[in-house]
Amino acid sequence: MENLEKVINLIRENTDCKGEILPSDNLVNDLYLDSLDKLLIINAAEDVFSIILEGEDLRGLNTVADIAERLNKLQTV
Amino acid sequence: MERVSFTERMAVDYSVVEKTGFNPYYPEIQSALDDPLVIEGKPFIDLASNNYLGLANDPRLCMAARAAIDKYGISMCGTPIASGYSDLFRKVEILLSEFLGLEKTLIYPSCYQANNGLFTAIMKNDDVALVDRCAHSSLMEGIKATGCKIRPFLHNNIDHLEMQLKKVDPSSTSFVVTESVFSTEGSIAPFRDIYEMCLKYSAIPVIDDSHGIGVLGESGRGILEHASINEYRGYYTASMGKALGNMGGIISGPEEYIGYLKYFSSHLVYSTAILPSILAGIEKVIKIINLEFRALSRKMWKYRDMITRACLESGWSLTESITPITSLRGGDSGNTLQIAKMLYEKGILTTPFIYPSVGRNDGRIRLIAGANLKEESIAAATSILRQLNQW
Repeated sequence: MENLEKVINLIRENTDCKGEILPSDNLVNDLYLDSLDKLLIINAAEDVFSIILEGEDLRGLNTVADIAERLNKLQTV
Repeated sequence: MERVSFTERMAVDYSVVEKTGFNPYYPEIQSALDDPLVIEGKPFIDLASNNYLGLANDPRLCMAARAAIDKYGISMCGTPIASGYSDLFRKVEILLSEFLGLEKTLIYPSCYQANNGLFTAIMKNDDVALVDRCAHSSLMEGIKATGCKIRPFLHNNIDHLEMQLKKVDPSSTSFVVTESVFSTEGSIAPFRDIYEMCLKYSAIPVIDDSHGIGVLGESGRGILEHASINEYRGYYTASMGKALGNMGGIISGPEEYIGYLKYFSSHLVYSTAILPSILAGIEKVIKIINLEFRALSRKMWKYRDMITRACLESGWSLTESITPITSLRGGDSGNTLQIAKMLYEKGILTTPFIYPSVGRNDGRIRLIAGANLKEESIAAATSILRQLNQW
């Protein structure tokens, strides 16, 4: 839950998405994020969560909740 | 996953065009960039082209181009490394280097090719590209093609750039990539700060000055003059098809950077050389800018101020442009095309930008008034802009 809020804040701070952001929002179809937006979010997540994300870690991230869940998993590894 | 047929993949979504009954793209212009120019047999005020200084149809350029055709013919039918390089080609390379205050210049058939070709020639996949979030597609596509690590930084945000630079492994070669003028917004990169940041972190700067050359700086030499940068150590690219009124693109910089590209930039080495008539046009336009920039620039800014003032006074929402670009915020794609359509119906040609060229629901209608336009045309355009925002 805490990660979810952090991810939503990261999206707000690093993209033009200023309205309501829901966990179920699809990054492309609902938030209209492109590949550069996603990179900005991932780079910021690396700083906030003190982790390094590899290409493998980023596969299958479609929604806001997907990012938060993936970060949860990586933090518990 | 459901398989999408190739025909479906190639389908173009025309829904917004159908909804508005207007397709602003590929207008068939039946004249030169005159004032007025002609489309469908009707007169139009040109607020669409990037003909900032109004020199694209200058008789002196046309005469120089004709003389080059008489001497060299239409084409040299070869790449620059083979039969496409002429004494004129070399002369124009030197002239451009002197104009910019840089050591060496290469001339490509387009700036898209120059930008694309630069990265594929110089970057390896373990290099890092730090690129402005709003950088032009030609830069982005070139960077992506190298397979390097991409670290975008927030638009014109020097603090965010520094955060990203601090994270780069010191053993990697890093490049900081940006544009001088971001043409949908009319914003200018804080390039002096960016350049100093590059020096501090040993990163190699790459600046695309396509909308800055012939526009920025006291004598029109572009972003390096505007930012008071001397002895620039980095890559400089620019289009010859905007304020310079011609076509083609250049990469300039220190001799040791450019010498490599001369033999290893595929986009240069394997493309038929830019036409002699265009080279002659570039040669002439640089001479004209050297003599007449102040007067042309004064006119360009005067027109920009007239248009911007009319838009602001009549309630249009504008970007905070600090260049000769006035950019109306159009909202969603339908609304953006609707505004462009209303202006078109009143005889004003504009450049609308819709998603994905700009953010979704964040369209722009760009207005650029070249110095060749008559003052009464600008007055007519401002009157139309004032009336139309009452709709």
